[in-house]
Amino acid sequence: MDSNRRLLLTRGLCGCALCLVGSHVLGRVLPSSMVPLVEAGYEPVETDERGLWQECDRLEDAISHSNLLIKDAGVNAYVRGVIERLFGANAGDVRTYLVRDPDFNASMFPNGMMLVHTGLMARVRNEAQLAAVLGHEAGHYLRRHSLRQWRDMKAKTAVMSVLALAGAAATGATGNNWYDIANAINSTLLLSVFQFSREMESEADAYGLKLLFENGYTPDAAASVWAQLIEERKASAAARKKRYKDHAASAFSTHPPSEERMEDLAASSRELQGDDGTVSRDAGLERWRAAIAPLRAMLLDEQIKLNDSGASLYLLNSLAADGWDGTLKYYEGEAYRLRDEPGDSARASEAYAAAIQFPDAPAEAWRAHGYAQMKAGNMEEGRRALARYLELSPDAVDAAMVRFSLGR
Amino acid sequence: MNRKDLRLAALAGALLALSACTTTRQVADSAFRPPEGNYRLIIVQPDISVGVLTAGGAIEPHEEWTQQARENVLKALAAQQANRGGATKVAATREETGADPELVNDLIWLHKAVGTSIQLHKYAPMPLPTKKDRFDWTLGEKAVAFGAATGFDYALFLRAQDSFSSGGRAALQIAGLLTCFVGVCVMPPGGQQIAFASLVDLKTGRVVWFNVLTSSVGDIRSPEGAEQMVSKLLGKMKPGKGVKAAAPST
Amino acid sequence: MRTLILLVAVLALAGCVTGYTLVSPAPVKVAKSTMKVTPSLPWNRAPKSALDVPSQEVWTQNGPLLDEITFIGGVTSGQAIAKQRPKDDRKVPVFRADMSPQDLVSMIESYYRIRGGATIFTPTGVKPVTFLGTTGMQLDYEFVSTDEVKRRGRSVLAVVEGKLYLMSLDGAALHYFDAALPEFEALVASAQIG
Repeated sequence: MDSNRRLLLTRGLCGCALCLVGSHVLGRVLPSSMVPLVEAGYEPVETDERGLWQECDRLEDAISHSNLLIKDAGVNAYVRGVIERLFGANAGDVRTYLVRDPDFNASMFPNGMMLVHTGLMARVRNEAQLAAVLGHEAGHYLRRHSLRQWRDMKAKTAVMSVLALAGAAATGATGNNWYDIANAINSTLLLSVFQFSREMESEADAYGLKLLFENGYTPDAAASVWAQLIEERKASAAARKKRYKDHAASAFSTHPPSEERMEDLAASSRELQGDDGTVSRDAGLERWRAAIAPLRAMLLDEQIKLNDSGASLYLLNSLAADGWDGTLKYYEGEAYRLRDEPGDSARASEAYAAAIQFPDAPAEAWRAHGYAQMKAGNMEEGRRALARYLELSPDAVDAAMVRFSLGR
Repeated sequence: MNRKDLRLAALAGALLALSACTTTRQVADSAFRPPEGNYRLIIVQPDISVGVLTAGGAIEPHEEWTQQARENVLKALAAQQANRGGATKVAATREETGADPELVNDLIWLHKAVGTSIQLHKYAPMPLPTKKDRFDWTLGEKAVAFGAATGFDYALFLRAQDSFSSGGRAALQIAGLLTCFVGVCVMPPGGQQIAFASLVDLKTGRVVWFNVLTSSVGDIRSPEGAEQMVSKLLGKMKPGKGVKAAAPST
Repeated sequence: MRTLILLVAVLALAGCVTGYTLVSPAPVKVAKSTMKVTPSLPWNRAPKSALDVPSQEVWTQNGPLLDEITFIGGVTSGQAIAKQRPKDDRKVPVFRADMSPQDLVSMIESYYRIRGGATIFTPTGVKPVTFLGTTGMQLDYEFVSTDEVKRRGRSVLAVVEGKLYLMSLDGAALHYFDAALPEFEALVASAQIG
């Protein structure tokens, strides 16, 4: 049961995850200059592109039957709606899969398959931020970057053996069969050596901004979502007393944009907003909250249980900028409880006590409050809270255990 | 090239010379008897792909070659099974099996873990002492239910991969050799035919027979090459040790 | 509760292939501790991984991808059930002798998510049980990692003289978990310290 990166590895062959590379040598790409290179209903013609699509279709067959997909019809329809707004005429060619994966990521494949990770959904604060990331991916797709990337790579590559070794060592016994490993080796190449060029990333940024703006979203959502990601990584590093590095992420996870790209995003965003007189700009906070409500606790749980305390606490505070509620307070308590540094049990206890004051407090907040109080010696208060938990959640999977604690 | 590189290249050359052939290695349940007579076999999502080996050593998937190989391999397989009395159905999707797609999905993912375990513990150097003389992996009760629901006697899981440079069969990659040093041999990623077949008895759920083929000759894009591969992979099923001891097949 | 990839990586680094060894069906001390169990079947003991805690031992019938039993014997307060470095971003919470049932459950869940690569982990039952002659806890769960196989698991644990003793069974939800469960239950019942 290793943390097997097979899907991600294979993805590298045809997908374009969010990434960055390069130095600031090119000028800024203007959003207005971005036009699609793929018409609606596009089918590949050239041999190499058809092969690439075939490979992506195989991958899609596996992904469409994955046990890690979010099946909730409402959330899927909601994300679909955002995709339709962004892709417009091309939306019919795009299929979206919401994948349980706590890493911040989204990826777009040349055959029209798009993957959106729960790690992204947990972190965006509103619909505009979601649209900013999906718009960036749409940019890669509409500019046919994966094909350009693939051809570029073929022209350059001569470094197979060394990298293949790395790939094999990383995947050699992950429970894959040899066939997958062989494919993974090739994909590793693509992922780790030839990231999208600076030029392509700038195009995707510019295109994403254009799509945001044209669809009535506030274009500064792009810069803000990346800024949040960078801040979160800094917080994570600081909590472990490490130096934050832009490129510290492994070959398989994503890099946030560099300073230069952030500056370009901000400049383009200002320009766009400058000539905005007619359309009202919308962040879509309420729509996002309503749509995501059924998944919110799961999304947070998935992050917090990884016990990356710096990242967890940053994330919770960032979401709480739009207001604390019972769920956020409960998970703040959870983050401290799992971190378990001196003073954390008091901090956790305080957060749980605050959580149960909110009408939307999850039943688990009462359980957590109960155990926190009992640990602090407040047996009566603790018992009351555990009893309340059982009242709210009589069929809880741990009801027998909690009843046992109550009886002691 | 420094001396170390030269030595490596020589080693790779030697391996290349040795590997210009086809090898198979099969393992079977000791009570295994190759299917004969009136039996129904379903091939579950056969995965056959052919790629182009680029100059740099990457494999580029090739749609046309894959289609050709797929057609030829499946045709050869059906003909081969018919010779033994078997009727073969190919289910390209989970739905085409005729059973509940969810059930089929569970079986496919489980088979992946089982097939990997077989490779790790029967092929790679990580044997399990309790399985020294046993081959008894299973897909369990759900595979039996699948057989009962669909009327098939056997399920065959099949993967075949091949790649060619645009000029013809490509040279074995050094990488393929090197990766053997890390404990688990990884098949060379290019210029080599790799196939594995796993036969499940749907009356018991057990994986009764498993075979891995590697070859540096032959071309599964052609009907003849496909027939050759199928014949080598599935044509010489050996009965299990228990069966051989009881009634030596001659 | 271990990763095959780590196993092979470690084998490779060590430059020697120490393989699985046979566990005979007789009383045997496990996990470098005083915990003793009595299997009724022969088992395969997995080679030691440098990334396991010292007091950890893993057995399997059909290979760790299909079924495995993990023993953790005598983790003291302040230690984690996984070997980890201070700079790891994601950390399995350390064990404390005064942990509440919910603390123990989330410690195990974090272990599966961080070390086991489980992206879905759903507890299905938590109840008090007798283990090692004292009142312990049994946690049942279902999980899915990126290899897509649906798995089930059960951990039985107790704190004895401030130390954590744990036995867990993981297996594919199809067939393998159920097939190993009776033997696991017998092992749990047979377990004793001393």
